[in-house]
Amino acid sequence: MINKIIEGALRQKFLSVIFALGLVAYGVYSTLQLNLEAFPDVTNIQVQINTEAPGLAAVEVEQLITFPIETVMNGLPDVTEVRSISKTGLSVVTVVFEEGVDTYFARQLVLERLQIAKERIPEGLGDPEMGPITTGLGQIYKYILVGDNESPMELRTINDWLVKFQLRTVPGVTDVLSFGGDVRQYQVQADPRRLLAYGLTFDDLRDALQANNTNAGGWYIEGTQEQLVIRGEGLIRGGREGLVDIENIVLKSEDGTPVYIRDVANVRFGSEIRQGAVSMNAEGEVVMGVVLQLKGANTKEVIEGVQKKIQDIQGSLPDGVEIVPVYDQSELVNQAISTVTKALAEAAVLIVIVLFLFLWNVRSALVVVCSIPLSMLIAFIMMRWFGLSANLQSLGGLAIGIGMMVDGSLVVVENIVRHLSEPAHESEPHTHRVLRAAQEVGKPVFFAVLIIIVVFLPLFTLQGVEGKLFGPMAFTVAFAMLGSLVVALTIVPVLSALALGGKMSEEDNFLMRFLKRVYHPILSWALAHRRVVIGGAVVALVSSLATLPLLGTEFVPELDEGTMNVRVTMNPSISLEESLRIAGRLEKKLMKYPEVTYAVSHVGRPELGGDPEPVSNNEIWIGLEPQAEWTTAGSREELVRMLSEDLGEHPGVMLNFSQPIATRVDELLSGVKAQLAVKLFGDDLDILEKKGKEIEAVINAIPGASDVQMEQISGEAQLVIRADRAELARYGINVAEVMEVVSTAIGGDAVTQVLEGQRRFDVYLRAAETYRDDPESIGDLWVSNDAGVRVPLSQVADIRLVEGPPTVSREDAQRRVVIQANVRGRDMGGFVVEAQKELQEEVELPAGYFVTWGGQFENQQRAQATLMIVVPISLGLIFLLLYLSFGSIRNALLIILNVPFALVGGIFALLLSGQYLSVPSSVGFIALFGVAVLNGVVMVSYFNQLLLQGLPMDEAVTRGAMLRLRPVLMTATVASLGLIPLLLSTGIGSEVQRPLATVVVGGLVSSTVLTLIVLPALYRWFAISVEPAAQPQTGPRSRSLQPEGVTR
Amino acid sequence: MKLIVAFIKPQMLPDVILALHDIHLLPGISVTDVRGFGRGRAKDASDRVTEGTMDFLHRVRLETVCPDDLVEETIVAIERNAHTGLRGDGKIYVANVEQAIRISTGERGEAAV
Repeated sequence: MINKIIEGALRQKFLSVIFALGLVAYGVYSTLQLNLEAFPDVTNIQVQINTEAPGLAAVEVEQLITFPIETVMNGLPDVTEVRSISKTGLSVVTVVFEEGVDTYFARQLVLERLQIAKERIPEGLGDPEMGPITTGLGQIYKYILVGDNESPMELRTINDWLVKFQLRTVPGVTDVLSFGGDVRQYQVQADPRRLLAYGLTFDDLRDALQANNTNAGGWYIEGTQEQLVIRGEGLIRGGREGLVDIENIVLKSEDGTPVYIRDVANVRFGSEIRQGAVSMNAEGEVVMGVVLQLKGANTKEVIEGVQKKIQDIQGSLPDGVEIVPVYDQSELVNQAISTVTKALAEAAVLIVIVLFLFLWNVRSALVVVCSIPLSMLIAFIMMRWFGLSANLQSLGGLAIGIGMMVDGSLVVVENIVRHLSEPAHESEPHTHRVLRAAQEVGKPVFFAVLIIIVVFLPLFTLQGVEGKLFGPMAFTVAFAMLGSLVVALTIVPVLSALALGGKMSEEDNFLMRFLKRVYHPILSWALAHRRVVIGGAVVALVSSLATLPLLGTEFVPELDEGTMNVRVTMNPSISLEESLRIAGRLEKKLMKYPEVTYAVSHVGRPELGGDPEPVSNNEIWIGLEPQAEWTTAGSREELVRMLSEDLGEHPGVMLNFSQPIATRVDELLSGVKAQLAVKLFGDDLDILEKKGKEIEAVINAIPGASDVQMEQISGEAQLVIRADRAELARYGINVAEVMEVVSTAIGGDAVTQVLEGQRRFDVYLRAAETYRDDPESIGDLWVSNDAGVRVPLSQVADIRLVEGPPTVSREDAQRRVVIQANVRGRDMGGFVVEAQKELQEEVELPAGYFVTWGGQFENQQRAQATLMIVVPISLGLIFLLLYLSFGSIRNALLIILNVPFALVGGIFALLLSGQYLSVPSSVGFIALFGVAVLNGVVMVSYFNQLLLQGLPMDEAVTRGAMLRLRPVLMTATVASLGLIPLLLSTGIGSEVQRPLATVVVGGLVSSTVLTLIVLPALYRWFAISVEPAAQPQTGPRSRSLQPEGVTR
Repeated sequence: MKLIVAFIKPQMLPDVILALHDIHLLPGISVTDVRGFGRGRAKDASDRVTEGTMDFLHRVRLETVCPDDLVEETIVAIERNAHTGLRGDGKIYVANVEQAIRISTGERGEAAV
C-alpha cells in the first residue's frame, strides 16, 4: 500500500509536480481566508439575561427578578450552571450550557423560558432581555469622543445616535455600548407643594404628559383629481421647542383658568440617573464606545471594518468633535501572530542550516525543507475545512511541529542520498534507485508519523478552557503531520528524483566524520557494558521522577496582552462623583510612568450588556509601551509591583491587577475576576460576610497571596422607607400609594418619549431635587389617595438609614460570597494545597455552609484528571501501532521504553529553568513521546532489516547504529532547533509556549542519548527472532563480508 | 539447454534481478509471485500470510531456460544475491530441456532459446 503510493507518485512525476503546485495555490488561498484572532476563544456557551429594574435595591432585585428567572432557567436541558448577580437596579442571570450546544439554539431555549419568567416578575419592575452574542475576547475596540467645547451630554448624544448607529452596520459587530457621559432627558421636575396647592398628584401629571404627546393618521380624502393624505400632529416637538410644548400642557381647568405644567413643575433638559462614567488620563470625564464583536467573527476583519467606518463617521461629526481610538485588539492579534510567525521563520532558517551541515548538499537540504511549507499549507487547508482560526495557539502548534514536519521527508531523503552515493548499478535507472531507497523507509516513516499524530490525541479530549486553548494546537499539529506524511511519501521522492543527480558524494562531510569517530567507541563500550548502561539509564529515570514533586504546578502561564488593567474597589457606599474624583487621582499617578501610554477609568457600568459593576468599582485600563522601551521596570511583574505600591497608598481602595481579556474571560467563565476563587455558599448574608472575612484573613496570610478580596456584600448605605400599616389604616391609604411616592416622586419615571428625528429622548417625571435630597424633605412629601386624603410620608412610613448589601450573588440556586485572590511569585497548585489545609484548621463553618474552590485552579485539576486517564490510553495506542508496524511485541516494547527516558530530560529542563508543570508543559511531554518514538522506530526497523539480511546480532547493531546516526541526530537536532526560537522568544504570547518548548528540547537531549546508546545495548534482548540455517554458511559467497558502505 | 527454477525471498528480488541483468547473454527470465510452504509449514514465520485457514509464505519464483555455458553463472548470481544465511532463503533447481521453439520464426533448438 505505502510502496504503491510512493511508486505511483514516482511513475507520474509530472502529475505529482502539478499536484504539488495546485496544493500550493489552494493552500495560499486557504491561508488568506483564515480567521485571525489573538488567542482561541475560551468562553463557554452561555446566555446572559439582563434585567434593568430602575431604582430597586439588590435584595429586592434578587427576590423579585433574579429568583423567578433563575428558577425557570434551572430546568433547561444541557444547562451546566446558572448563576446570577443582583445589584442596585440590575439583575444579571448567566445560564451556562454544555459544550457543543449551538449558541443560537441555547438562546432560543432561553427565550422560550423567558416568557414564563416575565409572567412571574411583578408588573412594571423590569423586562428581562438577553445580552449580546459575544465572548471574552469580544471587546475588540474602544474609542472615546472628544470635543472642543461639547458637554459630556452632547458627546453622549452624538455617540448614541450617530456613531453607534453607524458602527453597528459593520459586519461582525454585535453591539456598541456607550459608557460615560450624560443621557439627555426632558425632565419635568415637579414641585410637590404646588401640586398640593392645585390639588394635583403625580398621577395627574403622568396622565397629562401621556395624553398630550401623540400623532395620528386619518387615511385620505378624495378631491376631484387627487387624494389628500390626512396627518394629525400632536407630538411634543424636539429640542427647546419641546420644553415649551411640555410646559404648556394643561393639567386641569379651574373655573375656566387652566393650570399648566409650567405652573407646578420646572421643565428642562437634564441627565439620566447614571451608574457609570469614564475618565481618561486625569483629564476628566469622557464618553466612550465599546465595540463588541459577534461570536465567531474574524477579529482582524471586523476591526478593519470598524476603523474604516470610523473614518467615514469622522466626516459627518460636528466640527471639533473627534473619535479617538483607545484600545484596539488588532495590535494584540498582530503581535501574537508575529511572535509565532517570527519563531516559525527562525526555526525554518535553523533547520536549513542543520540539514545542510549534516547532508553537506544544498539540493537535498532544499528538498527536505520543501516539506515545511507544503505541510503547513496542507495544515492551513484543513484548518479552513474544520473552521479553525489562526491564532497564537493554532499557529503555535505549527511552531512545535515544524521540526517534526521535516522528520519524515528527512528520513526519506537521507536514505535516497545514501543509496545514490553507493556505486550505481549500470542497468538500474535513476528513478528506480530513488524508488527503492524511498520504499525501504516508507513503512517506518508512515508508522512513525502516524504515531506522532496518535500522540496528540489526548489533547482532543481536554475539556473546558484547556480544551479550547490546546485543542486547536493539537488539531494543527495533527494536520501538519498528516500533510508532512503525504509530502514525504509523494512529493519528496519525486523532487529527489528530479533534483538529486546520479552522482552523490560518498564521502561523509567533516561533521559526520567527527561524530562517527566520537560515537563509535561509545557505542562499542556500551555494547560491551550493557548492564552498566542500563543501570545508569534507570538511575537517571528514577532520580528525575524523584524530583517531580519539587516542580510546582500551574494551569497555564499568563499571556501578556500588552495592556494591563487594575480593578479599584472602593467603599460600597461611595458616590459616582467621588469615585470619579479618585479615578482622576489614580490616573495622574499612573501617567507619571513613562511606560504608560494611557489610563482610562471605567467607573461603574456601561449601558445594559456590559459588565454589571457598581459605582464603587473602577476598572482602569492601562496601555503600555512595548516592553523593550521600558525604563523604570524590567518586567510586567515588576511594574505591577511598583504600581500596586504606588496606587495602594491611596486610602480606602483595594486593587486587583490583571489584563483586560483575562479579566473578561475569568468573569465570563466563573463570574470571578481573579485566578483563584474561594466560594462560600450559604443563606444568611450576615454569616456569609462574617465567615468570608475569616477566610479572607486566612488566605491573606499565606505566602504568595496578592490582591485578596472579598466580594462586597455589605456596606451600601440605604434609606429604607417602611410603610406603617397601622397608620395607613387610619388614613385609608394603600401601601401602593406610598410606594408610588417612593418610585415616582423620589425615583422618577420615564413617562413618555420625545422624538427628534430618529433620536428618542425620555420625558422624565420626578420631584424637584430640593424636595428629595435628604431624609427630612423626603418625609415631607405628600401621600394621597383617591378619596383626597393627604398626609406627609413621614406620618405613614418609618424612614431610616441602614446598611445593606450592594450585591447578592447566587450560584446553583444558593447565595454565595466569593473571596478572590491572585497568586504571584508562586505556583498555583502548591498555594491551593496550603490554603485548603489552613482553611480546614482555622475556619469553622456552620451547618449548611460550605466552601468550593474555583477559578484557574479548577481548570488545572480537571486538565490533570483528564490527562491522567488519556495519556496512558494513548501510550497503549502507540504500543498497538508499533506492534502493527513491527509485528513483534518485543520490538514494540523496546521502542515504548523510549518514552520514560524521554521524560528524564524534560523534567530536568523544567527544573533547571524554574518553570512549573502546567498544561502546556504536559503538551510538551506528549509531543516529546512522538519524537522519541520516531527515533526508536527508525533505529529498530533498520536493525531488523540487517538481521533479516543475515547479519549476526552484534554486527547488525553496530552497523545499524552507525548508519542511522545521521538520521537520528538530524531529526532530533531539527526538532529541538525548531523550538529554540519559541524558547527564546519574548514576544506577546510566548509565555504559553515556553514551558512546552523547554520540555521538548530537554527531553530530546535525553531521548537521543537513549536512542543512540541505550537502545542498541538493549536491542539484543528485544530482537525479533530470526532462525539461522541449520549449518551457517560463510564463504566468499556470503554477503556479510562485503565491505561496509555498500551494504544495503 | 537447461531450465533453471529458483524460489527466493521477495525482498531479495531487486538484487537478484540487477545481478541477472549483468549476465549479457542470458536470454531472459520469468518472475512469478507464489505462495506456499516449506519444511516449517509456514507455521511460525513472522512474514506468513494466512488465507482462510491456511498459512503460506510469499516467495518469488524465477524461471529461465539458458544455454548450458550460462548455467553456472546464472546459478551463482541467484545464489549469492538471494542469500541471507537464514532459514527459508529458497532453492534453485536445474533440469534438462529437450526442445525449444521460437514462435515468431519457427527456429528450433538452442538457437531458439
